[in-house]
Amino acid sequence: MSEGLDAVVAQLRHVIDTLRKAAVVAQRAQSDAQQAAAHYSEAARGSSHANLTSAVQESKAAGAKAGRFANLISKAADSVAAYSNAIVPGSAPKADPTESAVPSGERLLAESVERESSRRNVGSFLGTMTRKVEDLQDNTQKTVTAAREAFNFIRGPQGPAGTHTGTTTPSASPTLGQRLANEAPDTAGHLVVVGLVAGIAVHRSVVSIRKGMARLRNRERTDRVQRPDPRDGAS
Amino acid sequence: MSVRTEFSDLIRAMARRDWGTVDQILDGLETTGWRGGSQMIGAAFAIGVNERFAAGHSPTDVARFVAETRSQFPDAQSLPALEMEGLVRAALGEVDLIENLNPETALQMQIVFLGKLLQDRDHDEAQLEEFIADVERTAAEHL
Repeated sequence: MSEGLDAVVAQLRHVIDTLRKAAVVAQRAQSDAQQAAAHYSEAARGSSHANLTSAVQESKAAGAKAGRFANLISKAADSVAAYSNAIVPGSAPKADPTESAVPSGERLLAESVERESSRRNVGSFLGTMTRKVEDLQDNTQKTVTAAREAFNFIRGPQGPAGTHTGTTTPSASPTLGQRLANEAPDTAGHLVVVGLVAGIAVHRSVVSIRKGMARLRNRERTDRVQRPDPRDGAS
Repeated sequence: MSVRTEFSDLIRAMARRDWGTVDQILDGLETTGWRGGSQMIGAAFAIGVNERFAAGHSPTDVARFVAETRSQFPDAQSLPALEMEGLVRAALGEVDLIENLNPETALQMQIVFLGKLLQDRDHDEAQLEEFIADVERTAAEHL
C-alpha cells in the first residue's frame, strides 16, 4: 500500500472508530432514558400532576430519539467501513459485537467501579499533594521558576516538531464544549456532546481524507505523464 | 475560591504545544501569584495518569511509562527516576510514596508527565475542553 493510501485508510479507520464509539454512547443514553421513564412512571402512579406527566413523556421521547441517533450513527459507520473496504479490501476495522450491543450489567458495573476507583485515586493524591505544596503557593517567584524549568524540559531547546508560538488566545469565558460539559448533565446534553465530538472528529478526518485522495490522484496523473501506459494508447 | 482561567489556558497551551502562550501565561503568573496552580496541575496529571493506566496495571508498566517519558524528554533526565515512578504510583492510589518528595520537584515532574500524557492523547478540541472541564471540577474540590 502506498504511503498516501495508507494515510487515507488510517483516517477512515479513525472516522469509523469515532462513529462506532458515538453510537455506543447513544445506545447507553437510550437505555438510561428508558430507565428514567420507567422510574418516572412508577413515581407518577396515582398522580396526574403535569410535571410528572411531562417528565414521563420527555424521557420516553429522549429514549426514542437516542435510539434513532444510535441507529443512524451505526449506519454511517457501516457506510464508511464499506467505502474503506472498497478502496483496500479488509482495511475497515470489524465492529466489536460487545461494543455495539447495549452494555451488559456486568460491564456497566466494571466501568462504574473503575471510574469510582480513579476518582478515589485522584482525590487522595490531590489531598496529599495539596498539603505538601501549601508553602509553594506563597513563594510565587520560586514556583514559577520551577514550573518554567519543567516546561523547558518538555519543549526541548528548539521545541518539538509541530511547535508553534503565540496562537492560543487565553479565553475570557468558557468555550461551548466546556459549557456543554459543565451544564448538560442530562441525556440530551450528553447526546449533544457526543454529536459534537463525533461531528468535529469526522469533519476533520473527511477534510484530511479529501486532501489525501487528491494527492493520490495527482500522483497517479504525474506518474502516467512521466511513464505512459501503452494501454492508454499513447504513441 | 474558584479555579483561575490562567491555569486552564496553561494546560490548553501545553496540549497545543503553544510555547509562546505558555511563556506569556507564566510571565503573568509571576505578578498574579501561583495560588490554585498546584491543584490544577495536580488534577490534570492525576486524571491523565488514571486515564492512561487501566485497572490491573503493574509497577513494571509504570516503570516503562517513566522510561518512555525520560527518553522522550532527555532534559528531564535530571529528575530522579525512582521518585518519578513513585509519583505516578501515588496518583494511582499509593499516596504514601510521595511523603518525602520535595514539593518543587513534585511540581516539575507533574508538568513533565502532563506534557507526555497530553502529547500521547493528542486530544481534539472538544476532547481537550472536556478534559479541562473535568480538571477544573476536580481542582475546585481541593482549593
